[in-house]
Amino acid sequence: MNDILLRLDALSKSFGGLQAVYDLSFGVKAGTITSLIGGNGAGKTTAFNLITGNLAPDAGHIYFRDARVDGLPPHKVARAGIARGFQELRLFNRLSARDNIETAIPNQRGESIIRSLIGGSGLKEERKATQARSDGLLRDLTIASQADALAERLSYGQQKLLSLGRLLAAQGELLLLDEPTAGLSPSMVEDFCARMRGLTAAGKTILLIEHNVEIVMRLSDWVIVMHQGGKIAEGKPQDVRNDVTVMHTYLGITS
Amino acid sequence: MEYFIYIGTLIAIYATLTISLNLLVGYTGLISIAQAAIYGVGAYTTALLALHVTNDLLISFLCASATGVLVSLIIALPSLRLKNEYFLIATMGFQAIIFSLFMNLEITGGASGLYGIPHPTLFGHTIRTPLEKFFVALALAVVCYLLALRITNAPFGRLLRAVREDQTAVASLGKSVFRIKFSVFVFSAVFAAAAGTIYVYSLTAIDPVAFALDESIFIITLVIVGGTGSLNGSLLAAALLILLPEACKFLAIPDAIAPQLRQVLYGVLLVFFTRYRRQGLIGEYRDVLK
Amino acid sequence: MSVLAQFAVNGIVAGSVYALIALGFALIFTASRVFHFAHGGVYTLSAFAGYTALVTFKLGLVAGFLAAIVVAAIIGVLINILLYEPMKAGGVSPFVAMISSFGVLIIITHMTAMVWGSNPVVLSRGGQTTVYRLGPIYTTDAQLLIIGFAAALAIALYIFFRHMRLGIAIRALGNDSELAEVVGMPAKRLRHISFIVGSGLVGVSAMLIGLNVGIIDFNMGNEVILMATVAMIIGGLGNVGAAAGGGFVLGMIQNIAIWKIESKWQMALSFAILIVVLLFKPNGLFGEKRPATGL
Repeated sequence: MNDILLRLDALSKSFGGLQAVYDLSFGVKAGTITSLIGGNGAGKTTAFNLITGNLAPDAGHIYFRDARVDGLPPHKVARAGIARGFQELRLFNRLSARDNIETAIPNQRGESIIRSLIGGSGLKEERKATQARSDGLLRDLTIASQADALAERLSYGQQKLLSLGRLLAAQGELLLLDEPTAGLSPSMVEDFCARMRGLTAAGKTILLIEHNVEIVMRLSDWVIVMHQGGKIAEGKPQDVRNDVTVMHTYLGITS
Repeated sequence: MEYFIYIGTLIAIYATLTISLNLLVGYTGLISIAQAAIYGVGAYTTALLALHVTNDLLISFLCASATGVLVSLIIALPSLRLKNEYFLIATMGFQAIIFSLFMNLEITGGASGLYGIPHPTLFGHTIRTPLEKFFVALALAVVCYLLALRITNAPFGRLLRAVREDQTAVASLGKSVFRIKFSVFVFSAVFAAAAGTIYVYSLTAIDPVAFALDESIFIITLVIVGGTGSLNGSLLAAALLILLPEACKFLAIPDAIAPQLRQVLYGVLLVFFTRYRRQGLIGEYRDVLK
Repeated sequence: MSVLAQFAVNGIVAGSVYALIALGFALIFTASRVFHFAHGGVYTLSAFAGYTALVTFKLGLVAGFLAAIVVAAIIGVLINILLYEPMKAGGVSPFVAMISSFGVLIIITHMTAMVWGSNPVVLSRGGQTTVYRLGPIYTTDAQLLIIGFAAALAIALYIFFRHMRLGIAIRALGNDSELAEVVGMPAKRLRHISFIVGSGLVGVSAMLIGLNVGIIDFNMGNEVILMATVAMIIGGLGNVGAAAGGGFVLGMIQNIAIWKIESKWQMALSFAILIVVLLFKPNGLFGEKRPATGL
């Protein structure tokens, strides 16, 4: 199971005069945790936006399971199996935690307006199944007590868990996480690491943008270093850490 | 007595119009000022059908809704891509074009409209009295309300609320925001056009002025006053804003300025609610109008 | 051929009319980012104010213009002070302000009808209209005045926005209100000034156009503001000159179209153009890069 799940090929994107990403190429192997690191403005979030279709590349291609996904609109990219988390979370604030998760569950017939008008017993079964799933996820994430609370009422840590829950509910094969440990307490960071390993054990692939060097070193199977829109190094965590270029540009910037 | 039936019918028609627009505005935040045009399309379809082909009630509803849906497709497909203000302006453009068609085509009777429309028939029985027509209007309003309630309580409703919160996040979960907005747009058109059918059969005539931009703004006012996203609010607003000016009739306001005063009242309400109470009378959601 | 020439001239006049209204509308939009539809109401009210001074009280042409300008400027800036500014301070988006603006438009329009009646009234300064003839083309002094004023105004505003500090400040305001505040320009005051000037201008326009057409009625503002919106979008937002250009193009299209289609379709045609522009060239014909699309 070590084939390349996601491949970026010579991706470029500029905004006005600013080149955000330039000639970016890398691959993410299935079943691994890959970290994307780099200073501010390195182009990491732009790369994510390109992958998910929120931005269209100026040049280059993106392949997911060997099929091209660049140029697809975001919802189609998500349907293909890429689940994306946002740095700013983007939870449905005035919906309950449970609703947030249930919205993410794919293929609900009750989400079609025609179906919901016609009704039928199939829908009741579906709602029960949806509820069971959301119950399970909420419990798993230890926020079951907050199931009916509005998302905006949850603590920051709980909100991050909820956002992860949404991603899991979406059942994507590839999870893109943008700074998932920012603002978390040490114990929550531990919890996060454990969950990540659990997910890859279950067959998921994870691509993270992460600033916490320690997490990157501990968790990652592979690290990609970006700087000013391009990739300057990649490799196993130890190798990258020892790479002179990286030490000067990236580690120099952050530490 | 007839007077109360007339008022009741008006309230039922506007309740239907308001609920249908509220689903669009209150849940997806898309403010369309083309609703009167779609209402008019339903009305004219019914009238022309009744004058030339059939005045069967069910067929009228069906054809009116079908044309309403067709027109809403024409409006929605290009416009849904546009952001807030520009979506509104695009719908304003369509409203003006369609209104122009009402006023200028020979087949729609031009500025004088159409008249002498026969009473509707239902399973052989002719619906002739104002009271019977009121019941039809009421039935439509009830059906509209119940169906709106049904979809907002279904997973679709949850999806609508999610779109209201954060469209980007909804798309990132694999759900098509365009399809969602589109569905609501079409649903709202079905009922707006059906309301047009009631209008025609109640008045047995059409005055195109009833479907001008002013009317669209009035319907938006009803949605905002009642509360975006609140179905009960829509009912309340429709009742209040129809009854209030009628109640003023007992205040001996001269006929010359009464219609103007009524419009001023509506304008004041619109300004007041958008400025001070964006959640409307009983809505709980201020930020749909974002 | 001479018929076409006359249509062209009519187009220039109509274009100037739209450009005049669009200029004030765009000035306000540039400063506040609000589609100030109530501008149409200000237009109507100022025409009637001018009417009152000129016809009712027979105070003369200058008084008529002054009344129109003063009333327009005051009402315009009041709307900003009482409505848009508090909304902006409350974090409400310009979109909602736009909706409230519709409400104000309705209020002003119908209060005008309550005071002056719903029937059209004649606005004239007495005396003859001078008609000029250039070959096969006819035009009146009022029309020439409109064209002249529109041209002068367009040039004046161009200079103002490019080369005068106040104008540059207002442009900066429209682009980034917060930035403008940080740099130390009193944003609110700049917006008030924009409303005063933009509204005052519409007062002049109302008088010129009212005198040209000869009659005014309480609905005049409604029609005109819709056209101004079309003009502004066709021309391109965020640029007062573009709005004037858009108005001009609109006037020309409407009048030359008469050559081929009946005049009753003018409105529909204008809005069809609006929609086409919104979809395919959202920046307008002359405008800056500001996309209108985006789900």
